[in-house]
Amino acid sequence: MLVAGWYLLFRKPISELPLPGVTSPAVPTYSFAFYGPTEPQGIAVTPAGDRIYVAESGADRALMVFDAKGNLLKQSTPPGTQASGRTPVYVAVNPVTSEVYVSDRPGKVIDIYAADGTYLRQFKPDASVKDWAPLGLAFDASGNLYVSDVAPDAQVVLKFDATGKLLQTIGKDSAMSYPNGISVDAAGRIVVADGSNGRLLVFDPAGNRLGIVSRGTADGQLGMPRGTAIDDHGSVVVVDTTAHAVNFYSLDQGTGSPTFLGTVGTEGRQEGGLEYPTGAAADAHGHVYVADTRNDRIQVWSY
Amino acid sequence: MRMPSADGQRGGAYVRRHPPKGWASRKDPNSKRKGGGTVRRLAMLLAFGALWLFLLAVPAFADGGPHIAGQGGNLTPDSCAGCHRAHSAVAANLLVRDQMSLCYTCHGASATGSVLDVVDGISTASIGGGALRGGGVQFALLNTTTYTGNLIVGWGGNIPALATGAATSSHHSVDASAVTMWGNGPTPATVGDTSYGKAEKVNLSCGSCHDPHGNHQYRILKPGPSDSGIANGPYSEGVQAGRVYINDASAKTYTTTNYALIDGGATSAANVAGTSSGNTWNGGPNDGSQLAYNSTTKNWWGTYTAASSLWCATCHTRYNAVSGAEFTPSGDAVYMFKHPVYTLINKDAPDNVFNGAWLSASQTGVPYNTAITPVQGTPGAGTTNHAPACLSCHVAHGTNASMTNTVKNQYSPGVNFNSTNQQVQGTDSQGLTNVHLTSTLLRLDNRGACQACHQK
Repeated sequence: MLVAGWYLLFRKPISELPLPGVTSPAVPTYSFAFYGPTEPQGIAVTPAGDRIYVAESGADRALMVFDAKGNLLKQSTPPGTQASGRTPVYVAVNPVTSEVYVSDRPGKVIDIYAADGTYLRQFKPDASVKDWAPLGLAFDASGNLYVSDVAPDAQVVLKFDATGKLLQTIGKDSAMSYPNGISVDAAGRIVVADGSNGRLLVFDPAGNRLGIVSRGTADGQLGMPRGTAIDDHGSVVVVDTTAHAVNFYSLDQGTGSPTFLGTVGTEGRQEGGLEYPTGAAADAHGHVYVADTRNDRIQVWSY
Repeated sequence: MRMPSADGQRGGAYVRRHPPKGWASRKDPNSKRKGGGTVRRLAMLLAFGALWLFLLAVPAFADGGPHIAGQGGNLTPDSCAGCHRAHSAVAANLLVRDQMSLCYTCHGASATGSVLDVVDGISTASIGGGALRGGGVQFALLNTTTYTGNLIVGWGGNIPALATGAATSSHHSVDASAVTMWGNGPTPATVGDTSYGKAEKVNLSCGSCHDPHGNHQYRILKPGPSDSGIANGPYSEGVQAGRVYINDASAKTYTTTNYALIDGGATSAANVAGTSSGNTWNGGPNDGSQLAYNSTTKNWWGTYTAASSLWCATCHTRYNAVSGAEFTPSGDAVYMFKHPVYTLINKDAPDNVFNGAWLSASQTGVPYNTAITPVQGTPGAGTTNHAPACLSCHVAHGTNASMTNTVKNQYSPGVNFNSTNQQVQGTDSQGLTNVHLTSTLLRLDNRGACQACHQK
């Protein structure tokens, strides 16, 4: 009865049933890695974890689709383009349509693929958005798209509805410098890796800044944050590229202030070692995925 | 499966369950004090908090990136640790990893932390954006085919760029692999000895030419390239045995347009390094862009195209040549006659080397100085201040120029040329295969750079 109730409530495997007296760790532990992409940067995963989408910035510069075990299912690129004319960077999955969005900053476009990796079309932003440089991508639960615009005079996060209408500009007063990864938690709070400032910023749904993690040497402080994700524990996952590590934070339910939980990874090529990682993703089953860029692999960490 | 390490060190999973001192955390209701100073303390707290947030909010990269020496706030100790390890480094200079990977975290494909993507040869700067004049390592956007014989139409002073990148056919290595420093090393003792293996090898990387910590030079170029010999100084500023050494002893004011402005107030965006729009950029014959500025003497060191040739010659020593070197044997077995660079060209040179009237740099499509007097060389009769430079014909990072027929088999010792598919076979240091390794960083196809001026 307990197991049935658990499954009906959470739709999670029995193996994830919590045991009495055993608390879940604050950060995940290394599980496995798979190879295939060259210099992967962006990564996204379906909530079920059955499809992993990776943007490789080297070799073919393609969107690669893997299954949960890391088997390559499909590799796709915008039609009519050569590797020299495309640079996929970050990836996000639309929770409403299951479509996969891939940013191409030099190309100034966001490409949209079907869930199986078939190329569909380009995202058409509001006409008011001109000469942008889309980089980080995220969706909220309603399917609104968040894009970090790193055009020299922008350095903000733009929020679009499903039609491409610009709903909101976030972070105009925060002097961000190359905002990279974006994540939106269940409460609608927007987490932004303010890459070149070495900060992590938290905004409420209205765009008011709630919290900040600054650059520094103390535990939990950041060097060069890039990709972000929200894992199934509700923790904020932040990839610190130059620290070759992944930090985890909880957000205060009331204030949104981030509290450092722990970090995983170390510089190196061994299991769990990272070389300038970039992207992060998380599924609903306790798995955190990291694009281990210079090691040309994807790492999977599990709670 | 790795479990959290007991000592709390990185290497597995390091868990910290409590926020460190000074971290934002839920407010402790018991810590609230009572008294008349509460409002004042609260005001001070808010004021300092606002100041702190303001300081934190200063964009680190807007005025030249992290390469700003001594600018507090950007180079924190953690920034050092991002690249260096005191006791456990795995690469020279205490680097945590190879330098190229480090640079690529910001300047790699898509340039996630900069306006400069040196892999693709793209700048996304609001001023000067477009194709990098120096090209890229893997791709470049040089329109290398525009020049067609004597037809010089529609150039308008700009060197066109491609809409999308093309694979580079040659590039300066940046992965620290050993490459030949052409023109450097001992001179072969016998005339006709073409054993190029005698040229010095160098482990070339980004930091061979650029100073990642920032300095006071254009494009943060080092005073002398690493391993060129001259960098081992000490040298006083100036020309040293045909090479140039430029001190960077003054504090630099970076601009939002370029790294070129040194000591402030001497120039403007338009004449710093040329401006560009869309897919074109100005060739810069009269752009007045200087390589460096001596804050002590208050003199500019030559001009960009002229002084940069001496800078290139710190490695490529024997490529430096004065006027007349094309007619006078140098005594060097390999580099006997040389095209003059960094000097004035004699328009009335014998043998009718120029077929036609002088062309402006904008007409030739290759930049050379016309409005300045180079700091070295004696003008010959009939010269009118035409000074070619290394960058007149070559680019710094990589070129997509193609070489066909005879020219592509030049200067490629050890490279396997396939006469069937007319391609050079092999893999270069960046893993690129079947690339033309013989374009020697030329900015135009084949010998278009020659024809651009000589019109033969």
